[in-house]
Amino acid sequence: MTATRTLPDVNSETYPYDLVQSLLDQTANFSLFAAPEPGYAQKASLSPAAPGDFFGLNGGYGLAIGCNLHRFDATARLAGGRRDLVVQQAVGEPEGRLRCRWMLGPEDLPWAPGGEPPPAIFDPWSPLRFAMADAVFTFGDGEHGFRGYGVGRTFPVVVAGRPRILAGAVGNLTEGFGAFRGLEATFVMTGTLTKELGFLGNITCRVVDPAGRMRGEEVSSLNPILDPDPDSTFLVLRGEKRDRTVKTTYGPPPDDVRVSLVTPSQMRALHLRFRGKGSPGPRAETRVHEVVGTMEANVAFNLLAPPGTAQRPVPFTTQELYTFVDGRGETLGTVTAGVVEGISFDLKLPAAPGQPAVRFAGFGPIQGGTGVFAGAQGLLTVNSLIGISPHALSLLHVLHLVDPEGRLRSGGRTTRKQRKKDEVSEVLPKDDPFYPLWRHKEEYTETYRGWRQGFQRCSRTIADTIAKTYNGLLDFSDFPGLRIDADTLADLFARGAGPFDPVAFDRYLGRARGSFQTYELGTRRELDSSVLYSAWGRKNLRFPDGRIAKKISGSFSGYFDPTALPDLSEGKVDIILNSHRPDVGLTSWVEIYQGHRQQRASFAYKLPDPHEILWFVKDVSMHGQPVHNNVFMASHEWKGTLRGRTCYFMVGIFFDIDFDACTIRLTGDRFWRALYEEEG
Amino acid sequence: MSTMQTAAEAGSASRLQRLIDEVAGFNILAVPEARSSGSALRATGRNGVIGWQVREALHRFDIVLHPPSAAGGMKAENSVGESAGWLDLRWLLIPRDFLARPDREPPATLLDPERSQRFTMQEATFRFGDGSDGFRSFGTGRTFPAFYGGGLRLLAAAVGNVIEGFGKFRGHEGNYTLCGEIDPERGFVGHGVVRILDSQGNLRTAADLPPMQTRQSPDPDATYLLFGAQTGPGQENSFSFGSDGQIRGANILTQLRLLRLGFAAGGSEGFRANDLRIGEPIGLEVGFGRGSEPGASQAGSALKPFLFEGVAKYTFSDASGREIGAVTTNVLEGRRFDVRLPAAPDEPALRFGFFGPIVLGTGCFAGAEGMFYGSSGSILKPPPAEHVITHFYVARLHDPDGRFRVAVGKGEGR
Repeated sequence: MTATRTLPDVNSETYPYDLVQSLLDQTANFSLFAAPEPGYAQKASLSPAAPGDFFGLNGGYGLAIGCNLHRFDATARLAGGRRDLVVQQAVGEPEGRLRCRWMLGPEDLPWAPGGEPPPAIFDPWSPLRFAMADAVFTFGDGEHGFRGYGVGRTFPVVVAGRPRILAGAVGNLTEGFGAFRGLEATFVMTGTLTKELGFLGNITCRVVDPAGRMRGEEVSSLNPILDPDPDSTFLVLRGEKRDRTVKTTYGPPPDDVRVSLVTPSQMRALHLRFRGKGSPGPRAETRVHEVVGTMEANVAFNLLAPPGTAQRPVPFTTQELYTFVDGRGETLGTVTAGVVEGISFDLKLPAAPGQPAVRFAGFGPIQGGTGVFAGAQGLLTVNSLIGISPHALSLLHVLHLVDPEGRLRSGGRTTRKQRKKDEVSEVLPKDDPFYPLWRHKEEYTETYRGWRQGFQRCSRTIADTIAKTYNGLLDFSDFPGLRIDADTLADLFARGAGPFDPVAFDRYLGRARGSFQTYELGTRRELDSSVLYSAWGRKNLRFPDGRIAKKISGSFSGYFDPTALPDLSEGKVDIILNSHRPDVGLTSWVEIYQGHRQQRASFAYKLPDPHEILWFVKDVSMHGQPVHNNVFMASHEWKGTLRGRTCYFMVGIFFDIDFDACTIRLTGDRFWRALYEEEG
Repeated sequence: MSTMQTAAEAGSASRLQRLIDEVAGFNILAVPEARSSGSALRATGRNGVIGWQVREALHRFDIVLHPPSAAGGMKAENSVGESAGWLDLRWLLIPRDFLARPDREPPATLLDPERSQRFTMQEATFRFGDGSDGFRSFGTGRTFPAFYGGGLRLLAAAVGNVIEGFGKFRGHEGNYTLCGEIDPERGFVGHGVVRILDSQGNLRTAADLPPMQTRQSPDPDATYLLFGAQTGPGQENSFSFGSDGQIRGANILTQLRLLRLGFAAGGSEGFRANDLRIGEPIGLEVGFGRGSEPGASQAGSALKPFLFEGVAKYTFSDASGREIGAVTTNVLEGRRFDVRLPAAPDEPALRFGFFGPIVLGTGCFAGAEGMFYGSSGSILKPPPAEHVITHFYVARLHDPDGRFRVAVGKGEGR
């Protein structure tokens, strides 16, 4: 291309501007929060087909990424008396999953779907490009989703004296399934690499959806969880021309091949909601709010290149200046950023055949800021659709600001943290012996979810084995058995965390004496017996986030009121905190002090009988050392009468469950039975 | 070792292993001398640090790794002994693509403590005892900013090569790897694992070394784990092939073993090191390695070492074989030198040093942060041929709470 080239008038109207704008906006916009799938990085390989090839060690020449995809709200608003810009941000329940391999490569790594780049080793201190191979996004129970390919880059930065590795990526849907079948989409990612080699951050996915398959209905608000990334603020913006009179101009060309389009836009606050579960499939809702600023973008690309395809997209870069204003129109601050890695694809608008259009996406670093954005660091992602002649814009930009002080968050970081702390301390003071149990349960949120997801994925296999094993032990005479129906159990596992059941939750109120017998699995010979005295708190604790909790104590030496415990270091009593929260369901945390130190985390499913519950109990630590195995102790518990008295029956069996392989097998050589009698 | 190995081959392997292990291997701990101050070098007319020139005390340093156990995890005793020599160093920051050589002075390059930067060890002269035994060396390294203890700290690791020995070290070749922390104003505080070839045996002694006069660690936030690795029974290397069918590197297995190193330098005997003390197996290494420069010659010399990189996972097990923990580490910089063994001149012997970060810890290493490095000797033939090797591996863990440390003299169950 030379200086004599003739450039098209991008502002001319092949179709009316307003029609093109409305067609470009026909996308289902998913804004997801990706949090690392617990334990995935430790087991995953970069070369799963060749386990004996140690090139595949995760963290070496790439990163095996496994994420839970959570519902996410990050909405910028002009709030308060001065109507300052604040972001209301919350992460909700997981409703999808992403698995992919980031294969690190050289700086000139090519776009090559299906291929792998020349290898480069992961150096946490050096920026590196990567190819995003075998990306699979799934939603709900996995029946909806898509495969994709993309490229990305790591950005080592130091923010407030703390080194972090940011990562951005851009990709293209290569094959949809379920509700995504036959659709085109572009996705972008911006986030942080965790110490455990996971990706923590935002993903926006724009699905071209002219038929309204996944949009057009209201999506319920999310149930917030403890923020997995309190150091990041995501400013989600909609960019558009103010109206058809705003013209795009050509700027000085960056080179002989590319042109520079200067596109002034107004930026609006955008509220994106999605759900991944439920019939008939994933849904996304887009709400556009007030104007919060403007953007001057200078986009460099080859306007005359053949339209971009999945195999050969057209690259672009940008340089952008965002100017944010408060409710009175006064400048709050500016952000400069630029896309360093952008890809664009030809876009057909069925309702406007012949209308040139492009979907394009990319990412790049935030270069700086002024005013409230002074010292800004982070990444920008863009995920957009534009027309060419007319040059209508449907831009979706995310400014990912590393914001450890929460300067832009609603209420600010310190205040927000303090508020949560204050609210919790009103329910459970920090010096309460059960406070650490609550904290552990909060920290284990993702683990609990991961386990439930494993049970969802492997529901049939696990249910069959559990039911078969338990039903094989019904013929004991100490107390009557209760049969487990495998189909019902599989259905319950597949449903995930169940609703709060007050009857089961408060099945004891006070003291109960449990007689435990341990048997050899093969011979049913009794090996051991003991008596445990349990005391259940009569009052439930209600936390601000919806968690309902109950204090319980257990001791071999007698009853201990869980609200008036002795010094736990004396080793006389163990303590348990049962709770229910909608996102994780019924869970428990156990701190064992009698005999030795041990910690256990457990989660439960409510079975059909009024007081029937099936717990899965996992040893977390023993003697202060973490326990790493796949052994879960199942404990089937129900209520009944024996010799005219109301009793509680329990049977415990140990299983080794591998969620990746979806296998379950009996483990150990014993099982136990317990008979609890209430003693007021 | 191949399962098809013949007795003759086994004998040969055993002999070669013995030759490879004819080395003086020892730990040192380098600490800026108390009277040293203002070690930072500044460029003329520019405001900023371009390197360091400092005299450091070399202390005896003992690392005793305890066998992994479910109850104790992985822990080591770290004992700092008396000063046994000194190190005169002049390190200069260099541009990323600078070809470092002992005969080239690099351009002035400013320190940026927020970035990882390369540096040369333009001068690194080790002197032991009264100073009559020692060696001059040259090498390269990198700085690594790390967020430890609520602040930014500057770690450094480097591989050095002996250029010229004097006193007892005259005529010896060898290499070492350093890892520690840089105080931009005072100098380097850290550990070095040194491996000097000693086919004549004049650097080693079978006698007990004098006990160390232990003192408080100048590096209290770090715990060093030292262990060895050799090819174990049934282990054999293999090629790794890329998706294009071409060889992209080698898959390497070794057996991890307890290892003790020690030296002393006082008195009339001057410098002397213990023979290597290689103990019981404690785990498994699986790794992948390759040259860092595509198409580079396989030869490695003092002026142009062969550069390599790779990834490895070190899994530690207790006596019953139960996994206790694992770390995955990346070698970002490895420098390899060809060796001619006098007793086996035709064997493709090598010595090398390397360093890189711990990128992932599991089990007892969950959440562990730090660096991994070492000094090694090997006879390396293309897979699946016999691989004779002895690694001195060290993990430097950020450990302000002493999670990986056993108080000296308070061994568990020992």
